[in-house]
Amino acid sequence: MTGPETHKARGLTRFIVLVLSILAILVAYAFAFQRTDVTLDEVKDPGRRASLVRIIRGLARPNLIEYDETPTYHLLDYRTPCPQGGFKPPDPDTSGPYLEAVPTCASPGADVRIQGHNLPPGVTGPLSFIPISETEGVALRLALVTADQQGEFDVVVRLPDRASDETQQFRLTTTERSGAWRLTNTAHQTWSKIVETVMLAFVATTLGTIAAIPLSFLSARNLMRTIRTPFVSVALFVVGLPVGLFAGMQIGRWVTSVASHISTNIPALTAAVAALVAAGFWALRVTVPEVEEEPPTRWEKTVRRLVVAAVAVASFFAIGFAGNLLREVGTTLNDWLGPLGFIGEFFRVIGDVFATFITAVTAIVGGAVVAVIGSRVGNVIADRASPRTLLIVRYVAISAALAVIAAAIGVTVRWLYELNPSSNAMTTTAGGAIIGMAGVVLSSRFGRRWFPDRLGLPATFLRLLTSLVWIGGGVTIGVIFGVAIDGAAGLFDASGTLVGPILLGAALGMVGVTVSRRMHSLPSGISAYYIARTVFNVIRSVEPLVMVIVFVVWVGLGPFAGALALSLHTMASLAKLYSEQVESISQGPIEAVTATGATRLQSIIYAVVPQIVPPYIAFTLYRWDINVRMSTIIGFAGGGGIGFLLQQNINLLHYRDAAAQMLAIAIVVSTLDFLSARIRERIV
Amino acid sequence: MLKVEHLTKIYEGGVLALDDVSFEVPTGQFLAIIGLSGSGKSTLLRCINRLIEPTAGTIVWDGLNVTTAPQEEMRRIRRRIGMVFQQFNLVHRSKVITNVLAGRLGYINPALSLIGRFPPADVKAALERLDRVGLANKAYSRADELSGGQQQRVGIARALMQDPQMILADEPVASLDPVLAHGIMQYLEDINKKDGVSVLCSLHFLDLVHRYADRVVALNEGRVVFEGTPAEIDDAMFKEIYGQDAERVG
Repeated sequence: MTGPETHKARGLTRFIVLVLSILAILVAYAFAFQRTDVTLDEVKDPGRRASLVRIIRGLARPNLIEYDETPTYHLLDYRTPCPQGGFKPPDPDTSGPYLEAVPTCASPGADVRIQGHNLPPGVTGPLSFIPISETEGVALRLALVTADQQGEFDVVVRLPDRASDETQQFRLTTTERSGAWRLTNTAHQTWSKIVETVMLAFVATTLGTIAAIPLSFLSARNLMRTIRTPFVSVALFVVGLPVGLFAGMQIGRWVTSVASHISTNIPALTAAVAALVAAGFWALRVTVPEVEEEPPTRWEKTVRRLVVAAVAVASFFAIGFAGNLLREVGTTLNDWLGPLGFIGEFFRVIGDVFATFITAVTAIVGGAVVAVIGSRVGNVIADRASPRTLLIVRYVAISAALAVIAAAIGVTVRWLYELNPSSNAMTTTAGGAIIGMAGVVLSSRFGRRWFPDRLGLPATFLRLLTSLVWIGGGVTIGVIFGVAIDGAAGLFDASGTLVGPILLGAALGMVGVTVSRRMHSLPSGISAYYIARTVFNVIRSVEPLVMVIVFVVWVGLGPFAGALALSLHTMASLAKLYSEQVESISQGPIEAVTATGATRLQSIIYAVVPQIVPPYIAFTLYRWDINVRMSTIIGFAGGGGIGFLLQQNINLLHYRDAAAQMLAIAIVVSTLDFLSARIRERIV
Repeated sequence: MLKVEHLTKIYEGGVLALDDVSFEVPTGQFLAIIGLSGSGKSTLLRCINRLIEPTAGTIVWDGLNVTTAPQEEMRRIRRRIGMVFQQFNLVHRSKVITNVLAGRLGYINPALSLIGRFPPADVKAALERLDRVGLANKAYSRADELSGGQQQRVGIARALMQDPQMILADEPVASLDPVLAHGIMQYLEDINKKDGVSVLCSLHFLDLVHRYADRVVALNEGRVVFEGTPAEIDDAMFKEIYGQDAERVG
């Protein structure tokens, strides 16, 4: 059975597969050609070729410098038609440039040979016929002539149909440069815009990098994988978040109102900021020791927490005052510094940023702090409480957490789709989302057990189906519940409340605890990892050119919109690239530093950061490179920079101006490429 | 006193790395842990400071239950247990002194670490530790400029920086040549004898065991197959530990 026969059969199969593959590729290409309109018909058209040549020649002569030019006229008297007895122009002065015509007179429409002599070699200019006309300055252009190396030209032109009894003239206009060269207006514009472009790329790269560094740790699998958090901690974290957001917002409002009433006197503001910073620093220095030999007592801990909280609030005030201070200083500097006034303007804008975002910052910080406190409390409960207490806390906390999540979903749905409050769509969505999420988690957890891999593709399909069934179930429960709430609307007077989602969330929380009784902790690290990764991928998949359109709507046309769009994209891309670097570091030092009793933060600073500095710098430079290139075209969509000029000139068919801008882009991109390569060599 | 009772570790995927391991180490003892590669030596050492979470069993050290200690308390326990690694596990791009100072991290306020600062007293202590391992002149070199033996000495200085009461050494000399190996082992012996620090050291070579260890625990496939003094390992015992086909070298 074995031997040559099977060998031959195998060869035949291989041959057939090969032929079929070639055929398949052929068909694919045929289809692709059809869809992409690959055709040479247009290319063969002479008109198109002429246009192409014109563009290429335009691009080859960037409009960068110009001269003052003075025209010189070379005239030759002429008669058309010939008068009786013929006509002979006066003898030219043959010592200088002069024109000659053969014949010396002719009927309109006749061909006349014009010769030029003693012209500057290589000079070019239009040859025109100056008819006798009522309007001044009429010149009928006949040809563009160029003198040869001997300063001669010889051309045959057709006389225009301008019969007259008087003497008319041929005129050759040559121009000569006078004075030194100077930059064109286009060159000036290009310079100003290319500076804008480089600065745009600079701002985008730095902002994106600063945001990407902490996020990259969040999306590094090796750092996040091991982090698990007790159920209770996660629940209290979720509950703490809105509480902290609200508290933080109140503090922010308070700070803003105090800051708006305070004097705008620069020395007073400076003193206030300095005093706050110094007091905070001193308080921390006194209460929190550098080195801790013994575990702190309960009393010490309480004092420390109070001091830290007070310092936090004080620092918010310091930021608020600093915002005022910077605005004042900026405005003053702006007047003083003259041409360097932009530095003052910078301070003013920074101050404005402080003042504008202080409430947002306090809200976020407050949310984060209370949430973290919640999860700490959860940790303590999970570690110390008796099983019975733990179970009770779990019921309460998880119900509350799911209620919060459901309410958040409800608020979002209502805002996004502008639903009226009594609609049960919120309940439906909240229920669907929560049960759906639970379903996805459970089917990814148990999916492999229920539908093992050896079943192949159907297993994947069944797992997906399970998730969908869960979501469907959630929506159904939500609908039923929503209708019931609607029916009992009188009971809750539900105008604008989120009673439905909250009740549903709480009820589902109870069910959740009962079902998950044996699960102690959640893989919070890897969940954060997947969420961060997904968000980055979504942001990354939207090109900055598209993103800028949204930002233009928000902050208006101009480089700021472009800088924001590029920053966001840079952040997402760098976070991904960085995190892959974090994933590839050696684990040994982390293990060693952890073994010394370091916290997670300390182990990142001392064991992770030193390892990732070179690749981070390399990637930042690489991204800077990309951003410079991106910022040259972000203007196409209204994002500022040189792209706007370029697009305008291309649309107006000003190819010489466009060429100037393209040249500038080429120079900047290659210079920065060279520079970044050198820096990379140095550092890495 | 370290007390390990019924310690079991099953890795995700079902690999049984430690199977009901129990032993005791009195304070100040030099304990060698021997066994083939994959017998569970590294897992055992890492379970003691919970770099690896044990699946079952208890570890009690100095009256503290290590296995149930919450995070904060675990950090306090870890900072008194030094660890030395086969691959040294230094941060290559950092200076030698920074690597040594990292041993202090358990004592230092994490906020201070954010700005990369150490108290001056710690810097002085780090230089003293480096002097003890004979590397005072290398303090400000980059760690990867050092040879293997020097790197392991930095590793020991880092462990000393913790003012440890116990040192876990995971094959500390397996990546070094025999001459350097004795050098490193002598530092561990010195710390054990002079400072009274307990040392748990996993080793490959029996001659090192005979030379340095007070007592031996031998593992085979995660189970303790021998416990006693080095002198008690005869040929039969050797075959029990290393398998019937093994031959004695050195």
